Amino acid sequence: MFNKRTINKIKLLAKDKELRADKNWLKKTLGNLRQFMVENPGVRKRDGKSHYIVEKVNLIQSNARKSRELTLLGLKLKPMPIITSILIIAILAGGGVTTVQAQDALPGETLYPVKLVTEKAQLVFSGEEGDVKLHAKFALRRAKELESLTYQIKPTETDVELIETTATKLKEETEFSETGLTKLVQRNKDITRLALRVEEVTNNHLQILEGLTQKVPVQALSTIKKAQEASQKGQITAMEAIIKAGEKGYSQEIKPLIEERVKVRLKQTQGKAEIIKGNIKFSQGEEALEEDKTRVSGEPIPFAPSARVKQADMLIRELETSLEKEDLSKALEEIKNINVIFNELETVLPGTSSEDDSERETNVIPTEEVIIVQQDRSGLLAAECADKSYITERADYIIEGFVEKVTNETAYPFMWREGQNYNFIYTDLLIERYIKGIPFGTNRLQIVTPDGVEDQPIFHQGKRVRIYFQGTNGEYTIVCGSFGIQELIPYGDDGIDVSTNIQPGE
Amino acid sequence: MKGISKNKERELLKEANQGDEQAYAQIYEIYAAKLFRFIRFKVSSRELAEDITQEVFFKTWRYLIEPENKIKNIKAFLYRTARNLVIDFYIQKSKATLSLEDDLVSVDLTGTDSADHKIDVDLQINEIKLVLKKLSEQYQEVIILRFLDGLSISEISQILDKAKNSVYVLIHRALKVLKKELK
Repeated sequence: MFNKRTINKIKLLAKDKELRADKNWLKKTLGNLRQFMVENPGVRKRDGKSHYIVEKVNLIQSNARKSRELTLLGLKLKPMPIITSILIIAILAGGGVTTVQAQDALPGETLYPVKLVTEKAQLVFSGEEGDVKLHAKFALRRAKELESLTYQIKPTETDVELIETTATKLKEETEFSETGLTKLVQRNKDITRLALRVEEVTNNHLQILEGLTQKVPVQALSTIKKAQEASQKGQITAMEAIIKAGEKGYSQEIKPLIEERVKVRLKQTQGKAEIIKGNIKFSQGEEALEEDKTRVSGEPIPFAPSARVKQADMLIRELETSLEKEDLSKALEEIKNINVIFNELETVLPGTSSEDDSERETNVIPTEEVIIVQQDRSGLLAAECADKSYITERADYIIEGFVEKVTNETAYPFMWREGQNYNFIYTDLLIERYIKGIPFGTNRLQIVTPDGVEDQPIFHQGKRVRIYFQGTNGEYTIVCGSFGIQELIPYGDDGIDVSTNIQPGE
Repeated sequence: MKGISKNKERELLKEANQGDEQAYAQIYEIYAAKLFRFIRFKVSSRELAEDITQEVFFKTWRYLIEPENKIKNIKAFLYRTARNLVIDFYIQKSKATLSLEDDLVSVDLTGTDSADHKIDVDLQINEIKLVLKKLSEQYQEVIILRFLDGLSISEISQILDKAKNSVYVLIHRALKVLKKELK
């Protein structure tokens, strides 16, 4: 085909010396890698996990609860289901290999229940502080499992169920950690280091969750949100514990750790504030940020997102000042209050998730290419397509916009069927309004439709349209083909938008 | 090391996920040269490309040995890590664009008659490199990943974090522009 010559030229680059790795360098780097692996051996190679359990068995846990005690080898253990105690015995008797292999199991895999039981076994032997730390650690594990589940799968019903179950477990672990920490604080124990650790771990898994809200199947979103809320609450509790510990003053050892933490959180809040402002501008217009609904300090501020953002901005400036003055307790209090505002905003504003890698630039609105690709005719002739409410219900997005350009091109043959050329129509749309759906990080999208195929949507340059489309994970199609678009009559004198369902060819 | 079957690759990855150093070393032997080429396109010097390639494998190993972590597609993971490391390098150096440097373009015209064919190939190679240099970073990437490194659309979509349909469209557009420039 006509592109074969071009592709063959590209393949010539494989012969280019400049692009070829030097053989001696390859050999040397392999040596370096082997050395690196020796210095950083795989955890599975060590007897790490079973060694930890054996260590704990040798300690007498004075904090073990009294009721329904199980005695094993003269040690008091916490109450637990029989199956757990049987498995603990099995592990101590040398089931270490299976438990070590289970550590990388994901929900739905055969060894995953062993992984969970191993976690329970660790809790059996830990004290109260250990419990708090372990629950926070397990919450982070659930978050990473969620990340793997969302990264790897196409969402079937089973997959959605797995995501929901894992998110629920994450929520539970976070709540256990938070409850434990609160009890320790109430007993006036010095748990600053523990609270710092919990705050860090919770922040890490919160960042993962924030990234997932844009990627999980819609059906699992509410469960993820609940896990997110529990984690936000957990982070605030940990912050409050650190603040409370500061009432008596921080020790020389702890102070630099807290200072470092405050600096990191300051950077994160600054980045997040910019993203939220960007999203408000995008979804509500530039003027929304300029409205001044703030009132005199001390008076309750009405919940307008722009007002909340201004309040967050003010707190960030105060945070910068507190950090300069090394008033760490005040700085932490301000971070806590900023997080409360951000948490509130996230529940009402679409797309306020921050990047999950906090080291990257976060002060720009993320841009993305949004392409709707109509493939074949499947699903176009459903009887329900004549019903407007069906289309509205099916659509994940309903957008109004202006058709900027419509072009016709011959596509590269691999796009749909090998060996055959297809003409495609590319329609560029400028988004003006969202009626349904979370705004994209761009105000332009492109619709690609095969030319000459029945019942496909047809666009006319210079027209305003409303389109109904569905999709997840970046793959979109228009609902019910030609039924899924409407040309809009321009605004009349009274400013009312009169829409009508104009069929192609009318 | 030449390409291996998918089954063998899957087996190696399974062992590497369990912390098997030997399996991971074999993975290095399969992918190191290709990754070096991918990175070399993006950075200004051979030495830098070598450093980043090494770091890709170190970083991937560090990721693999964590108990909670598991890689399902090692190829996509390595390329994605390579891409991220190059981006991190440029963010640190505050460079706005990635470009092919002229040191990539070299022609040996001192051959004898029997090397005429080789010279012709070299000229074509330089031509394509110069033209690729004119394309946007995204277009360069998809062309190299698809036609030079032979990655599937699915793998490319994982590396670039884009939907498959978007990758199709990108490749189509990139080829169109490249063809126009080559004319």
